[in-house]
Amino acid sequence: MVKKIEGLLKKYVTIDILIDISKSRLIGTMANDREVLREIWDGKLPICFQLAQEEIMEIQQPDPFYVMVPRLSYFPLVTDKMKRHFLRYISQENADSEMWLDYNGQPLKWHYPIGFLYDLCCGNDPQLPWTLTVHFTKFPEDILLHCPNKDVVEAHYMSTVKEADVLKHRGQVMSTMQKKDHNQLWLGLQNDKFDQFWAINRRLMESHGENEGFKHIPVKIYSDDGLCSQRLVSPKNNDGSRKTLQQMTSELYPDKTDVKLRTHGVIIPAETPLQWLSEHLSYPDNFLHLCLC
Amino acid sequence: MEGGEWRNSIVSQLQTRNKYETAAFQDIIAFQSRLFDNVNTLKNENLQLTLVNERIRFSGTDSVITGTGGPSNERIQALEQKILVQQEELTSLHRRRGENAQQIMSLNEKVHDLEKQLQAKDVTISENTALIASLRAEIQMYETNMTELQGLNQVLRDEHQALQIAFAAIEEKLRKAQDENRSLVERLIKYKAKDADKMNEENEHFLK
Amino acid sequence: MITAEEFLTAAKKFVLISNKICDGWKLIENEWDINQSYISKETFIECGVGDDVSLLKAEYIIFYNLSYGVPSFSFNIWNSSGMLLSLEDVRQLSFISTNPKEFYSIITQQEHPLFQRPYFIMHPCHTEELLTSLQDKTANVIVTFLGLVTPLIQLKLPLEYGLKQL
Repeated sequence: MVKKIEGLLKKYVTIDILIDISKSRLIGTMANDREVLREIWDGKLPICFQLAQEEIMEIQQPDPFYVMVPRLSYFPLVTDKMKRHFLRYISQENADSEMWLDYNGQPLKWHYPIGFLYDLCCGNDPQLPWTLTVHFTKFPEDILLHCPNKDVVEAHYMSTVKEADVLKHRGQVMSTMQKKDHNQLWLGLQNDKFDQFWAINRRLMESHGENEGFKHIPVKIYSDDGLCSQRLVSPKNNDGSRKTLQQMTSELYPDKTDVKLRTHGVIIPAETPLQWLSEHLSYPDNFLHLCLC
Repeated sequence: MEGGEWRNSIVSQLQTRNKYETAAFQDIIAFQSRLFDNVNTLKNENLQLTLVNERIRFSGTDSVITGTGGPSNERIQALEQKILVQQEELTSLHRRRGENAQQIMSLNEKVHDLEKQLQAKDVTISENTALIASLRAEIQMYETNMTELQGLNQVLRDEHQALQIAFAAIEEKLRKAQDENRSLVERLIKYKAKDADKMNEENEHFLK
Repeated sequence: MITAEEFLTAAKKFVLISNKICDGWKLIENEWDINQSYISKETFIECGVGDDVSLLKAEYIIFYNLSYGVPSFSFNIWNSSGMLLSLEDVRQLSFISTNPKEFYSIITQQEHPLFQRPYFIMHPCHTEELLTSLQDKTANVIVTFLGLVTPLIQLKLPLEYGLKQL
């Protein structure tokens, strides 16, 4: 009976997220707290880009470039205009070189979401606008991945989403999606289209069947020196109850007390259930990126 | 939808975050971005115009040196015609300008003279005004004198009248006194005659 | 899918064979976190013909991919002036010719999960599919795994690895 209703209801899943609130009890959980999803999506940071002094070849100093960037996006997607602005001021032989950014001398990894980079660098000490230095020479290839074009960003993003799906659903949701769905996911992110993105992403946030939760939670926890060690984390405790953030941190860091984790610029309350956290506070790549405060 | 303290905490932290990170800077940066775009557009336009300028300036010398194919030749000839026409217009305009300059000079002289005349008249006017002022003052003075004299006159007339009346009175008195005198003299003569008679009489008596 | 323990066991057996034939593989075992154990090999590759031969330095690392539960192959190749090769350069080196799009979908530059530095890593999707079909028939999963990898990379896999006993 449930399966029949499930089947019928699946037809309406694409219509409206709000209707799913009642369905969520039959289908399983899914990311249906639209208010939270929206607040997360709307986050934007003011950035001030400055050209590194040693790159400047003109007599006139270039103006710094200010722009609002989405916390959920990636730097290579939001720096075209900035790059065109600074190209005029550098030596022409570097015009085709790869651009890279640093904050306080630390190269910024473009494959991390912007909001996460900010939390990692300045979470405890907010600096707004966030001032970054732009370089065109001496690419630190032992630290940064190369990013010759936006396809590389898309490839990295899609492979991260796939990895998250493997952890959550053994990869089943991604493999049943068509190429055009994958494209819609990427385009929704790239063009800041919440509904377009979530129309597909909600399927990755569903959990079906008796489990009522993901197999494992896709999560990356970073200490403030940028190091991250991976673990397999289950959303349930051994007794089958929902695991909270606190229960996870005491598992992973048994020696530490009062562990505080930050994501999207907020400190996560200790009693937050991991399943809900993963559904709502993951980045578009479907991973939770948490910083130890 | 799940509830709980933790959800409220997360939502309110997110709202605060958006207020401080996004709302506070959105407008300023949007505005700055517009200004930035405007500046760039204007810089580009400037550059374009400078280039066009340079091109025009140098294309003048270029067309004499090169002598390329048919269509460009025609175009060159057409342009040269245009230049000739323009040059003629230019010379006639120059002549007109010379004439106008002459006219301007003579008009200037006239204006100068008229101005001088005006100035002279102004001087006369001011002199006259001064004269008028002094005459007025004199008149005023005479008027005051006249009133004064009239006053005096009147006083003298009154005095004179009074004296005449007094004179008449005294004349009357004199006449009376003279009459009285005459009568008295008459009386006296009478008495004297009487007396003389008397004396004559007496004398005659003595002699006798 | 294999467990981290199964990976470690296979890795140990592999390194034993490698030592016997002096193939240069080393095991780095992490006592606190089994997921961070790996085997690595450093070697030189000759590329080019005749006079135009240059020496490249290569580092290969086979580690356990936690999310996919399979071994993963990662490497870096530097030229004689110490600069990292680009992905396109690597593709040119490979034994078989592949078109760029295919190659880039299998091998990409990523941040290494263990070292947090850039490495070229072979995408686990393909590994998983192929290994699942071969899992029961293989004596050593790492040997099988390398067998899948070597056509793409200039990595010589001596036949001795396949022998049941040495």
